[in-house]
Amino acid sequence: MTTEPDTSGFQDILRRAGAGDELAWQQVVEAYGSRVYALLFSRCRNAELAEELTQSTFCTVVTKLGAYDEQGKFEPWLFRIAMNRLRDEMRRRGRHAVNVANDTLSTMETTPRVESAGGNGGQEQLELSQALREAVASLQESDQEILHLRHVSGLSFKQIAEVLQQPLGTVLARHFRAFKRLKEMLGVDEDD
Amino acid sequence: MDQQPPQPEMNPSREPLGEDFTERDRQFDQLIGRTLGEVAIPPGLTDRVVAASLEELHGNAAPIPFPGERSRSRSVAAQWLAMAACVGLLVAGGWLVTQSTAPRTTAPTERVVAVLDPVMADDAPVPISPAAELVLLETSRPAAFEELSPYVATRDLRFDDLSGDLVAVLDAIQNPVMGTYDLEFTP
Repeated sequence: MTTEPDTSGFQDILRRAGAGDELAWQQVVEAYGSRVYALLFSRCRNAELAEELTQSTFCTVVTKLGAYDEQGKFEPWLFRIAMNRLRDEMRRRGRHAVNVANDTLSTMETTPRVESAGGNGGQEQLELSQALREAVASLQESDQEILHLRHVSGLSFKQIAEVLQQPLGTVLARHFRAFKRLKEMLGVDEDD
Repeated sequence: MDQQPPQPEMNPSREPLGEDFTERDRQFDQLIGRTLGEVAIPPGLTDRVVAASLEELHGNAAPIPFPGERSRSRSVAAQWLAMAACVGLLVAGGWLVTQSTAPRTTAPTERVVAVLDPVMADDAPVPISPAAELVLLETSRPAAFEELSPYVATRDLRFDDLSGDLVAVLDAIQNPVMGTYDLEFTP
C-alpha cells in the first residue's frame, strides 16, 4: 500500500477510472485513500473529520477524473484538493472558535502508536517520539504542512511545491528551516 | 476489498535528503518519518470512500457516515428548504416591523393612502454580520461579481453557515496567498 503504483500501469488505471470503470476507480482509492486520510488526520487530529474530508476529496476527484489528462501530476492534484478541503473546514471551524490546529497537543494522546519493543531503549524511543511530536506541533503551520506532506503522504519536494503552488526553492528552504529547528529543540546537533 | 491492516506503515519516504546532510541528519529524518507516519487507518475506509464517491458520481451526494457516529449530513433539498424558510421569516419580520412603525389612523371617514418608501423598506433589520455585508456590497457591482464568482463556484458551500462561507470567501479575496490555496487547478 505504501509503494507508489506502477507508473505506466497506473496511468492506464486512471484512464479507465476516468472513463467510468468502477473497478479501476476502486484501485485508485485503494492506492491513495489511506495516504490521503493519513495526511488529513495528521493535520487535524480528528478521525471523523479526516474521513469526511477524505470522502469529500475523492468525491471531487471522481467527478473531475473524466477530464483529467494524466501528465504525472495526479498525486499533487489529489493532495492539493485534500489540503484545500482541510483549509476550508479549519477556516470554517475557526469562525466558530474551535481551533483544530491548536488541539493538536491536547488530543495527541488519542493517536495510536506502534508498540515499542520494551525495555529502556523502547521507553527512550517512546519519549523521543513524544518529544518529536510536540516539537513538530510547535512549528509554524506552513512548516508542519511540508513535513506532513513529505513524511505522511510520501511526496517528493517537487510534488510538495506543486501541491502548495510554491517555488521548489521556497519549499526546500522551509523544510531546511523546520528540520534545523527540530534538531535544535531535540538537541540532535549537540556533540556527544 | 478493504484488507488494509489497522496500523500500516504510512511513510513511503521516497526522496532521501540531499548530499549536504550528514548521516546523523538522515537518521533523524527517518525518525521523523516513523513518528509522523504512525497513523491508524479506520477499518473499511476504502469501502466507504469508494461507495461515497460512486454515489457522488451517480448523482447521490450523501456521504457515508463514519462508523459509530451520527450522520450530520443533510440533503441538498433540505438545506435549500431551510434557507428558503429563513428568507421567508426575514421578509415576514421586516414586514411586521414596517407595519408596527407605520402611522395608524382611526378616522373612518378619511381614506388614508400610505405609500411605503422603498428606502424605508430596506431599513428593516436583517441579522447579517458586517463581514458578510461587505461581501454582499462587493457583489452589488457587476464587475466585482465576475471576480468573485470563481471563488464561490469552487467552494463547498453548504448553506448551513452562510455567514461563515461569505467571510471565508472574503478572506480568500483579501489575502492573495490564501487565494492560491482556495482555487483548485483544473487538471
